[in-house]
Amino acid sequence: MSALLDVDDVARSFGGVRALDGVSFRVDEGEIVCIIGPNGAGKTTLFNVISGVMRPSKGDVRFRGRSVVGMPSHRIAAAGIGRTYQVVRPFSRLTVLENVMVGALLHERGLAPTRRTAATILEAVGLERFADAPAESLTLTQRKRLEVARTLAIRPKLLLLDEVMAGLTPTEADAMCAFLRTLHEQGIAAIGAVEHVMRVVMSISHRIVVLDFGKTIAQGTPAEVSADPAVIEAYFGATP
Amino acid sequence: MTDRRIAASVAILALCAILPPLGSGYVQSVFYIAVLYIALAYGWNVIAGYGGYLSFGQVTFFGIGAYAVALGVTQLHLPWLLCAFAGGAIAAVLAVPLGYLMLRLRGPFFALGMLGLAQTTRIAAEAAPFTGGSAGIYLPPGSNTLPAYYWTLAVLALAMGMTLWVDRSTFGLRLRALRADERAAGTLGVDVTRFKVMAFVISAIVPGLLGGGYAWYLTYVDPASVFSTHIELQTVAMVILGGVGTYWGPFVGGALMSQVSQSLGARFPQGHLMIFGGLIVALLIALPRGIVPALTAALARRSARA
Amino acid sequence: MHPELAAQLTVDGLLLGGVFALAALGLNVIFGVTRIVNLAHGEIIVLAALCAAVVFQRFGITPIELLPAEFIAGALLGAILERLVFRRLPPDPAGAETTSLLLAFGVAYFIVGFSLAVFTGDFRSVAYLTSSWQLGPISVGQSRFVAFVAALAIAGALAVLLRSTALGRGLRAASQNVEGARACGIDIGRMRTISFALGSGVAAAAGGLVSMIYAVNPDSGSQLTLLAFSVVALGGLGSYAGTLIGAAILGVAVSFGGFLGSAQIGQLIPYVIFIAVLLFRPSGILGKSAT
Repeated sequence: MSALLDVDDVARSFGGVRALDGVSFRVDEGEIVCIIGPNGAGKTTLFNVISGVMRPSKGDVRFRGRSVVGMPSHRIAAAGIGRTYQVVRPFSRLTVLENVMVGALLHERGLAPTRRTAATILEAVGLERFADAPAESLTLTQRKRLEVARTLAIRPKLLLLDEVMAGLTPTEADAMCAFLRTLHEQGIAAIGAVEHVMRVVMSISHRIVVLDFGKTIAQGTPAEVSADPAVIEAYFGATP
Repeated sequence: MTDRRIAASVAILALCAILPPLGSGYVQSVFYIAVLYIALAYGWNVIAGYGGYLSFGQVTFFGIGAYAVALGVTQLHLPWLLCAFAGGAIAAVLAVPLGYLMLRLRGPFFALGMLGLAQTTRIAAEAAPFTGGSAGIYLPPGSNTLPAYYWTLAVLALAMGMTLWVDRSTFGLRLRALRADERAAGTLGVDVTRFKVMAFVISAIVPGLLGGGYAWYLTYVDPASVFSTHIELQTVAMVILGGVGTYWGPFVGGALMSQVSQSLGARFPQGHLMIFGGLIVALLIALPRGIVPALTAALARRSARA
Repeated sequence: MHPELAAQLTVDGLLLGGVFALAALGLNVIFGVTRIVNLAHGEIIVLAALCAAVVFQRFGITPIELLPAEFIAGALLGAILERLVFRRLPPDPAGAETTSLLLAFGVAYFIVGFSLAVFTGDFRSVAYLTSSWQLGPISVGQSRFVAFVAALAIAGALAVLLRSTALGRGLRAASQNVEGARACGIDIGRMRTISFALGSGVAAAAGGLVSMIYAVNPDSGSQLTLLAFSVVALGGLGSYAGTLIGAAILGVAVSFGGFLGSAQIGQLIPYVIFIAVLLFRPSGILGKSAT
């Protein structure tokens, strides 16, 4: 079976600094993959390359067997890749509902049906009470949910979630995991970027890719990765 | 909400259509200049207000429209209205490639790129062999104020209609999204380039159509006056005064400021520039969102208390 | 083209480049610290050039003698503009950019109107050092040469100031990392005022030298803003060496364009270069801040 997403030897440098250096991995349909790596490991750059915000200097990204390198980001979105941003920034001067409508426009025609679709999605993430509020008025946690909601509105087959766990309390992290599980049940694949090796992450991931200085230092099932000496070295240092 | 806006707009436009013929030639010119600037303000508001791309060079298309009439009437002996239409069409056709190029520049570079474009077309008009150079072109004299006025009023109606459409359409939603964050709009499936070029074209058609009326009104066209950044300056100041990216902003700002402009302009031309420049600065500091949003907020507060 | 003519045009262009560099350096200093693109930069240059022309005509004081006064007056104007106008920006970056552009647009035309009221719309320049030296086949205009030397001297002084003084370190820190600089006890508000003062002072000095080379009127400001921006586009915003190289390239291009085409073509060259560079080498425009 061919992979949903195939990242093949992707490299990207900025003025001599290699942010990504030969990264390869694959994601199958409905699979939850976590990219683990410290700040600056290249996770956001990787997402930028997959979602068409940046071109890779080298390598290929294939989605459902077709290369997406060089495609404008709106076509990649239409193909079925959605992404959230690490710094959540809703469209300012748009209401919460309108933020979701922007994504929903991809599959709807006319304002009224778009509005209905967006309202359903808002309900699913529990933001329906704020539908007509300006997006800037939401709290940080609510903004994160809005970010996910507007991305879900494009009906992705693959969701890239940048720093999904950052700043979440343990309860919220559990809720996020539950959310990832529902994605899996709906057949939506997800790649979550996280900074640290976390128990919750290990428990829900089908596979884990560990990035360090733009290189893949390990990948595999959670059990394989947590036993990998390179990961232990990078994450736990000298302590056993 | 939309229905009330349409009703109010139609009423105001009807009033503007009925009143001027009853007044003197002076009153007619006052109306002409006011309606001209209000319409220019609506045109600018689409790309700058809704799209977030501050253009300091939409006057390029105004000049092109003016030359379309001047050259069409004097060289090709065509009826002026046909040429004025053609001016809008030429502006639209030129705006597509120009938009694709210019809108790749961002923020200050776009603003400056457009400012330079207006200068470049002015210099081109001075140098071209068929434009009469900086001496300009004289059109056949006549009492053209009212015809030019009704043409301009029709363009205003069109500009207001397009703004209303932008305000209430999926196009407008996409435009506002890309104004807030182009990258995020792109990854949510918005074809950013296409929609900003569309907005740019709308903002070019309006001055393109208006330029022809201006040539007919003045019966004279020269590069310095129709590619003038002073026209741009007044347009920008009017939108800021009324409220950037709002439906009524250009109307309120344009109506108020064209009056100030006309009473000052003739007597005190340098002061005119100082006042418009100074007013932009003062408004941005004291009333950054403009009159219309400020009034709406005040009314909302009053009705909340009542 | 005759090689002697080409050499002559190249020398003319390189001499022009000195003043162009100075115009662009002022823009750079302001942008580096405040992230504000001062569209009114050219108007400040023109105002200074017109002052130099009138002072020379009335009192016989040469633009070179007037340079310190021009610098101080420009710096004062810059400081006032920052305190009174450019400090009032909304907190979000997108809003701040839009507002600062509109503010600069307003300031630019305020200055144009002021200059028109004071100096009328006449074109003015300074008829000082009008003869030239003959170096073999090449003639070097004395005024251009003196302006070039003065421009390089001021640019050099600016470099020393930025590199080797405490104030310069503060300015550079503020332009690299606002939070870090603040944590080190640097008063960012003060640095912003100083950068505006310094940038506008340098612009005014450049204006004094422009009066020795070009005839300008109050409407020439946007041309000079474009000129400074083309240098910046060529050399990269924030790069000192890049600015000098960009200015040299632009100077030579203007010199050749003006000769081969016409004065009007010469006027268009900065704009054409500006657009071409921005479109075809966009990563080069913003230098380090491109991401």
